[in-house]
Amino acid sequence: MARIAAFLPWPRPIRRLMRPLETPAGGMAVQERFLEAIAANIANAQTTRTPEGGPYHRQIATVDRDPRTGAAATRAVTDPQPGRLVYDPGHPDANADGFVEYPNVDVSTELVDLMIARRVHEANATVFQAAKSMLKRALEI
Amino acid sequence: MLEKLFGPSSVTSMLRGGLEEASATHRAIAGRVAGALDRSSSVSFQDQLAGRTADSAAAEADLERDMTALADTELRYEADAKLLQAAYAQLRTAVSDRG
Repeated sequence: MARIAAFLPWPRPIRRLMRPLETPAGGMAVQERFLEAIAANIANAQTTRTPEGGPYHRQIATVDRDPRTGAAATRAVTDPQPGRLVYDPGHPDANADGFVEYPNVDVSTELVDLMIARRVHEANATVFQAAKSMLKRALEI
Repeated sequence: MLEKLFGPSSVTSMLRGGLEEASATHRAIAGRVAGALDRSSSVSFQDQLAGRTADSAAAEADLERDMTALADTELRYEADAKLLQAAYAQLRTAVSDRG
Protein backbone atom coordinates (compact mmCIF):
# COMPACT_ATOMS: atom_id res chain seq x y z
CA MET A 1 0.00 0.00 0.00
CA ALA A 2 1.50 3.31 -1.07
CA ARG A 3 0.70 6.24 1.19
CA ILE A 4 0.27 9.57 -0.53
CA ALA A 5 2.75 11.76 1.30
CA ALA A 6 1.99 15.23 2.58
CA PHE A 7 2.83 17.90 0.06
CA LEU A 8 5.99 19.43 1.54
CA PRO A 9 7.40 19.76 5.08
CA TRP A 10 6.73 23.49 5.34
CA PRO A 11 7.40 25.36 8.61
CA ARG A 12 4.18 25.76 10.67
CA PRO A 13 3.17 29.36 9.71
CA ILE A 14 3.66 28.55 6.03
CA ARG A 15 1.98 25.13 6.30
CA ARG A 16 -1.46 26.63 6.93
CA LEU A 17 -0.99 28.98 3.99
CA MET A 18 0.00 26.11 1.71
CA ARG A 19 -2.81 23.76 2.81
CA PRO A 20 -5.09 24.59 -0.17
CA LEU A 21 -2.37 23.22 -2.44
CA GLU A 22 -2.13 19.89 -0.62
CA THR A 23 -5.56 18.54 -1.57
CA PRO A 24 -5.19 18.89 -5.37
CA ALA A 25 -1.54 17.72 -5.12
CA GLY A 26 -2.74 14.57 -3.31
CA GLY A 27 -5.44 14.12 -5.95
CA MET A 28 -2.85 14.32 -8.73
CA ALA A 29 -0.64 11.77 -6.93
CA VAL A 30 -3.60 9.36 -6.71
CA GLN A 31 -4.34 9.74 -10.43
CA GLU A 32 -0.67 9.05 -11.19
CA ARG A 33 -0.96 5.73 -9.30
CA PHE A 34 -4.07 4.95 -11.37
CA LEU A 35 -2.16 5.72 -14.56
CA GLU A 36 0.64 3.38 -13.45
CA ALA A 37 -1.85 0.52 -12.91
CA ILE A 38 -3.50 1.15 -16.31
CA ALA A 39 -0.07 1.33 -18.01
CA ALA A 40 0.93 -2.00 -16.41
CA ASN A 41 -2.33 -3.59 -17.63
CA ILE A 42 -1.82 -2.38 -21.20
CA ALA A 43 1.87 -3.37 -21.20
CA ASN A 44 0.95 -6.90 -20.05
CA ALA A 45 -2.18 -7.37 -22.19
CA GLN A 46 -0.50 -10.28 -24.02
CA THR A 47 1.59 -11.76 -21.16
CA THR A 48 0.68 -15.42 -20.88
CA ARG A 49 3.40 -16.38 -18.41
CA THR A 50 4.34 -14.64 -15.16
CA PRO A 51 6.85 -15.58 -12.40
CA GLU A 52 3.85 -16.48 -10.19
CA GLY A 53 2.59 -18.87 -12.87
CA GLY A 54 -0.26 -18.45 -15.33
CA PRO A 55 -1.16 -15.34 -17.31
CA TYR A 56 -1.02 -11.76 -16.05
CA HIS A 57 -4.08 -10.66 -14.11
CA ARG A 58 -5.49 -7.16 -14.42
CA GLN A 59 -4.55 -4.78 -11.59
CA ILE A 60 -6.99 -2.21 -10.25
CA ALA A 61 -5.59 0.64 -8.14
CA THR A 62 -7.96 1.70 -5.36
CA VAL A 63 -7.85 4.49 -2.80
CA ASP A 64 -8.42 4.12 0.93
CA ARG A 65 -9.14 7.38 2.70
CA ASP A 66 -8.67 7.97 6.39
CA PRO A 67 -12.13 9.31 7.44
CA ARG A 68 -10.52 11.41 10.20
CA THR A 69 -7.62 13.07 8.38
CA GLY A 70 -8.71 12.51 4.77
CA ALA A 71 -5.24 11.15 3.97
CA ALA A 72 -5.25 8.88 0.93
CA ALA A 73 -3.41 5.60 0.47
CA THR A 74 -3.47 3.60 -2.75
CA ARG A 75 -3.30 -0.15 -3.10
CA ALA A 76 -3.52 -2.52 -6.03
CA VAL A 77 -6.09 -5.31 -6.12
CA THR A 78 -6.14 -8.14 -8.64
CA ASP A 79 -9.19 -8.62 -10.84
CA PRO A 80 -10.10 -12.30 -10.26
CA GLN A 81 -12.00 -12.74 -13.53
CA PRO A 82 -10.58 -15.52 -15.71
CA GLY A 83 -8.68 -14.59 -18.86
CA ARG A 84 -9.92 -15.38 -22.36
CA LEU A 85 -9.06 -18.80 -23.82
CA VAL A 86 -7.67 -18.89 -27.35
CA TYR A 87 -7.13 -22.12 -29.26
CA ASP A 88 -3.48 -22.11 -30.27
CA PRO A 89 -1.91 -25.58 -29.90
CA GLY A 90 1.50 -24.36 -31.13
CA HIS A 91 1.84 -21.79 -28.33
CA PRO A 92 4.43 -22.70 -25.65
CA ASP A 93 1.86 -21.93 -22.92
CA ALA A 94 -0.98 -23.94 -24.43
CA ASN A 95 -2.66 -26.43 -22.08
CA ALA A 96 -3.27 -30.13 -22.84
CA ASP A 97 -6.37 -29.21 -24.90
CA GLY A 98 -4.40 -26.66 -26.96
CA PHE A 99 -5.93 -23.55 -25.35
CA VAL A 100 -3.87 -20.60 -24.20
CA GLU A 101 -5.21 -18.43 -21.39
CA TYR A 102 -4.59 -14.76 -22.14
CA PRO A 103 -4.75 -11.98 -19.49
CA ASN A 104 -8.19 -10.68 -18.46
CA VAL A 105 -7.21 -7.27 -19.82
CA ASP A 106 -9.47 -5.49 -22.31
CA VAL A 107 -7.36 -2.76 -23.93
CA SER A 108 -10.45 -0.69 -24.90
CA THR A 109 -11.62 -0.62 -21.26
CA GLU A 110 -8.12 0.36 -20.15
CA LEU A 111 -8.02 3.22 -22.66
CA VAL A 112 -11.39 4.51 -21.44
CA ASP A 113 -10.11 4.32 -17.84
CA LEU A 114 -6.96 6.14 -18.98
CA MET A 115 -9.04 8.98 -20.42
CA ILE A 116 -11.08 9.28 -17.20
CA ALA A 117 -7.95 9.29 -15.01
CA ARG A 118 -6.31 11.89 -17.25
CA ARG A 119 -9.39 14.10 -17.12
CA VAL A 120 -9.54 13.95 -13.31
CA HIS A 121 -5.77 14.65 -13.18
CA GLU A 122 -6.31 17.74 -15.36
CA ALA A 123 -9.16 18.87 -13.09
CA ASN A 124 -6.87 18.55 -10.05
CA ALA A 125 -4.17 20.52 -11.88
CA THR A 126 -6.72 23.29 -12.56
CA VAL A 127 -7.72 23.37 -8.88
CA PHE A 128 -4.01 23.59 -7.98
CA GLN A 129 -3.50 26.51 -10.37
CA ALA A 130 -6.55 28.28 -8.90
CA ALA A 131 -5.24 27.78 -5.34
CA LYS A 132 -1.85 29.09 -6.42
CA SER A 133 -3.27 32.24 -8.00
CA MET A 134 -5.54 32.85 -4.99
CA LEU A 135 -2.58 32.53 -2.62
CA LYS A 136 -0.53 34.86 -4.78
CA ARG A 137 -3.36 37.40 -4.80
CA ALA A 138 -3.72 37.17 -1.01
CA LEU A 139 -0.03 37.97 -0.60
CA GLU A 140 -0.49 41.13 -2.69
CA ILE A 141 -3.08 42.68 -0.31
CA MET B 1 -14.75 55.71 15.59
CA LEU B 2 -12.26 52.88 15.18
CA GLU B 3 -15.12 50.41 15.56
CA LYS B 4 -16.61 51.82 12.35
CA LEU B 5 -13.32 51.43 10.54
CA PHE B 6 -12.25 48.00 11.80
CA GLY B 7 -15.31 46.50 13.57
CA PRO B 8 -17.41 43.55 12.40
CA SER B 9 -19.73 45.77 10.34
CA SER B 10 -16.86 47.56 8.59
CA VAL B 11 -16.18 47.15 4.88
CA THR B 12 -12.80 45.51 5.52
CA SER B 13 -14.34 42.97 7.87
CA MET B 14 -17.05 42.06 5.37
CA LEU B 15 -14.49 41.73 2.58
CA ARG B 16 -12.32 39.54 4.80
CA GLY B 17 -15.39 37.37 5.39
CA GLY B 18 -15.86 37.16 1.63
CA LEU B 19 -12.26 36.00 1.21
CA GLU B 20 -12.70 33.35 3.89
CA GLU B 21 -15.93 32.15 2.30
CA ALA B 22 -14.25 31.88 -1.10
CA SER B 23 -11.36 29.93 0.50
CA ALA B 24 -13.81 27.53 2.15
CA THR B 25 -15.64 27.02 -1.16
CA HIS B 26 -12.31 26.34 -2.86
CA ARG B 27 -11.41 23.77 -0.18
CA ALA B 28 -14.74 21.99 -0.67
CA ILE B 29 -14.30 21.90 -4.46
CA ALA B 30 -10.68 20.67 -4.08
CA GLY B 31 -11.86 17.86 -1.78
CA ARG B 32 -14.59 16.78 -4.22
CA VAL B 33 -12.27 16.85 -7.26
CA ALA B 34 -9.44 15.02 -5.43
CA GLY B 35 -11.90 12.29 -4.38
CA ALA B 36 -13.69 12.09 -7.74
CA LEU B 37 -12.26 8.66 -8.51
CA ASP B 38 -11.77 5.92 -5.94
CA ARG B 39 -10.31 3.31 -8.26
CA SER B 40 -8.54 3.12 -11.59
CA SER B 41 -11.24 0.98 -13.19
CA SER B 42 -14.52 2.46 -14.43
CA VAL B 43 -16.10 -1.00 -14.55
CA SER B 44 -14.80 -3.37 -11.92
CA PHE B 45 -15.65 -6.98 -11.31
CA GLN B 46 -17.66 -5.96 -8.24
CA ASP B 47 -19.72 -3.57 -10.35
CA GLN B 48 -20.34 -6.23 -12.94
CA LEU B 49 -21.56 -8.55 -10.21
CA ALA B 50 -23.85 -5.82 -8.90
CA GLY B 51 -24.95 -4.88 -12.43
CA ARG B 52 -23.65 -1.34 -12.16
CA THR B 53 -21.85 0.54 -14.92
CA ALA B 54 -19.54 3.52 -15.16
CA ASP B 55 -22.58 5.81 -15.46
CA SER B 56 -23.41 5.43 -11.78
CA ALA B 57 -19.83 6.29 -10.77
CA ALA B 58 -19.81 9.31 -13.07
CA ALA B 59 -23.08 10.55 -11.57
CA GLU B 60 -21.50 10.75 -8.13
CA ALA B 61 -18.92 13.33 -9.20
CA ASP B 62 -19.82 16.18 -11.52
CA LEU B 63 -16.50 17.63 -12.66
CA GLU B 64 -18.04 20.18 -15.03
CA ARG B 65 -20.12 21.70 -12.24
CA ASP B 66 -17.13 21.78 -9.91
CA MET B 67 -14.91 23.40 -12.53
CA THR B 68 -17.54 26.10 -13.17
CA ALA B 69 -17.88 26.69 -9.44
CA LEU B 70 -14.08 26.90 -9.20
CA ALA B 71 -13.88 29.61 -11.87
CA ASP B 72 -16.66 31.51 -10.09
CA THR B 73 -14.91 31.20 -6.72
CA GLU B 74 -11.61 32.36 -8.17
CA LEU B 75 -13.24 35.49 -9.62
CA ARG B 76 -15.07 36.25 -6.36
CA TYR B 77 -11.80 35.88 -4.46
CA GLU B 78 -10.02 38.17 -6.93
CA ALA B 79 -12.77 40.80 -6.64
CA ASP B 80 -12.81 40.62 -2.82
CA ALA B 81 -9.01 40.87 -2.70
CA LYS B 82 -8.97 43.86 -5.05
CA LEU B 83 -11.67 45.69 -3.04
CA LEU B 84 -9.93 44.87 0.24
CA GLN B 85 -6.65 46.20 -1.13
CA ALA B 86 -8.42 49.44 -2.15
CA ALA B 87 -10.13 49.69 1.27
CA TYR B 88 -6.81 49.25 3.08
CA ALA B 89 -5.21 51.86 0.80
CA GLN B 90 -7.99 54.32 1.74
CA LEU B 91 -7.52 53.57 5.44
CA ARG B 92 -3.77 53.98 5.09
CA THR B 93 -4.30 57.37 3.46
CA ALA B 94 -6.77 58.37 6.18
CA VAL B 95 -4.51 57.43 9.10
CA SER B 96 -1.36 58.97 7.61
CA ASP B 97 -0.89 62.73 7.74
CA ARG B 98 0.12 62.86 4.10
CA GLY B 99 -2.48 63.93 1.54
